[in-house]
Amino acid sequence: MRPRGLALALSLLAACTKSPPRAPRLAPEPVAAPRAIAPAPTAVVDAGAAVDAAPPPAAPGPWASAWTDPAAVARLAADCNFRPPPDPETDEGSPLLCATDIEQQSCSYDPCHENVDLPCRRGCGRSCTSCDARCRGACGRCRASCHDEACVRACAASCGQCLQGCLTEKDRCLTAGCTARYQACFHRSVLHFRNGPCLASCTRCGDACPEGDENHHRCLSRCLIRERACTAEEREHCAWDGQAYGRDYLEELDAGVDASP
Amino acid sequence: MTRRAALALASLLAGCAERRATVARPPSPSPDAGAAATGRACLPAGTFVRGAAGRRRRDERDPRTVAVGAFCIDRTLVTRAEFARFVAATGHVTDAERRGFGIESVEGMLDWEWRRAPHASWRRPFTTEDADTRSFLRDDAPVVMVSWHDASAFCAWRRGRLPTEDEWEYAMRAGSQGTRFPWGDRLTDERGRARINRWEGASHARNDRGDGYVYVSPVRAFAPNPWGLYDPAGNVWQWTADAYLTGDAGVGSERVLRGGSWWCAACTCEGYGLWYRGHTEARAAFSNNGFRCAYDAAERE
Repeated sequence: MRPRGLALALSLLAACTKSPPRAPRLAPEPVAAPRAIAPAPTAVVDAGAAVDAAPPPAAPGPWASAWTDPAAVARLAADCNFRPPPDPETDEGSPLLCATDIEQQSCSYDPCHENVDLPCRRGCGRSCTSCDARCRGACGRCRASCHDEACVRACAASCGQCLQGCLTEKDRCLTAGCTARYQACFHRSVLHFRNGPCLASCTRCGDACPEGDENHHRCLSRCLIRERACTAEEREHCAWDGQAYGRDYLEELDAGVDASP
Repeated sequence: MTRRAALALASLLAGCAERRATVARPPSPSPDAGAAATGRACLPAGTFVRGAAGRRRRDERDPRTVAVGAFCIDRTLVTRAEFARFVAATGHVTDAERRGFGIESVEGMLDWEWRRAPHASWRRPFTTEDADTRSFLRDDAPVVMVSWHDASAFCAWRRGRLPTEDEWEYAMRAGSQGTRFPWGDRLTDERGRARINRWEGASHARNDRGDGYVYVSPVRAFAPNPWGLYDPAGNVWQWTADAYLTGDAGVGSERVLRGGSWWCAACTCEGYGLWYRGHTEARAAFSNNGFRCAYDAAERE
């Protein structure tokens, strides 16, 4: 199995636990800075493309967009522990800080996702913070051995690459990493519901509380609580999906069709 | 491990297996076939069935008939050239430019992986330029890395607005009902040619380029729906006017996007189609999000 496949399998098997999850390992080694964000490569021209000749002049952006920007490196050269303040106009946190998450693009809503998402995000944030501290520590040690400004600037540039690497790893953790956890959680949730005692209870209560009746949900909820066979999460599945929860998903898996939630 | 669990794990690890397409329904006639040459399609009031029974996602279920008033809508996604004219005329600064980064995903990354792209914006919506990412720079490419705020500002400049979710689906469905696309459920036409731009491949490590594109495609690259509207699915997610509501959370800062995108694969969001509901923060600027504008029926070209 390839390393990526193995990692994914381990991630899937880890599933969604109630305890804070271990976030994927981020850390670049303190001394050796991680590779910088994508270097600007040579442009390859697609001869068939009608490429826009010149968009309007660029708008002024923030003081720095990446730790590798000259302005950010200059601040790090002055202080390894420099942290940019929030945007004074919007109060948004700086995108250079671990505390600032990139937005997520979600295609679906599912309680399992919501349950997994928050602890996973926290784990990614903690890993980023540790990574950040290691980079700054390395920056300080590097500076301590310097005898001239060029050396200090080189330490700062290395630190900038290191810090930017932490952010890239955090983004990967938040997106690919947390989604793998969500998928594993959904899978476990379906297996637990369909193979556990809740399914029979859900079926009985569904029969006892006719759909369409205005008291359906209240009746179902009381019935499920009375029977004590379902967890709170399973009661929600039963209320939303009835006894069919997860059935299509498992059937599609059996048929060999991708069934990512 | 049970056989079922083993199969499930194997399937999850396998990634993007293709879903089977079902039989297509015949399309409905265009309500304004004579106006095919114009940039907007003006649609009469009507109804459509929103949602589909059996959908796993809760907010895409419960089929119900929805009524929509008459309105007009852009035939194509807003292009990069059009957006450039808007910026030149108004001096608009996009959210990505203000914040200093967009959000990108590129071939070779993990499934579901996205990352902040410093300095990226609608002008250059990527960090690494190559033959594939240069597709973003075409005049006739859909503009991307625009937030909901940017899209709304553009449409207002055109004396329009973003379509509501219902308007969007009514227009893109073009009279179809219960199918994934306006022409049915198939991803290819009778000659086997791709009908939409989506991610094709076993993972995001590599795109098989079966539809001819890795990232965005020109806004008229694929055949339109029966009402003459291009990219009813795939290419880029399309912002709608509507806030995304979950459960009892009430009105939040997320907005709904529809249609799916070049990034969507069977192994990831699988969102290319008419009933999928994407959502993200109104300020977010992704390299697979774009838009088209709607106009009140009185506001003709």
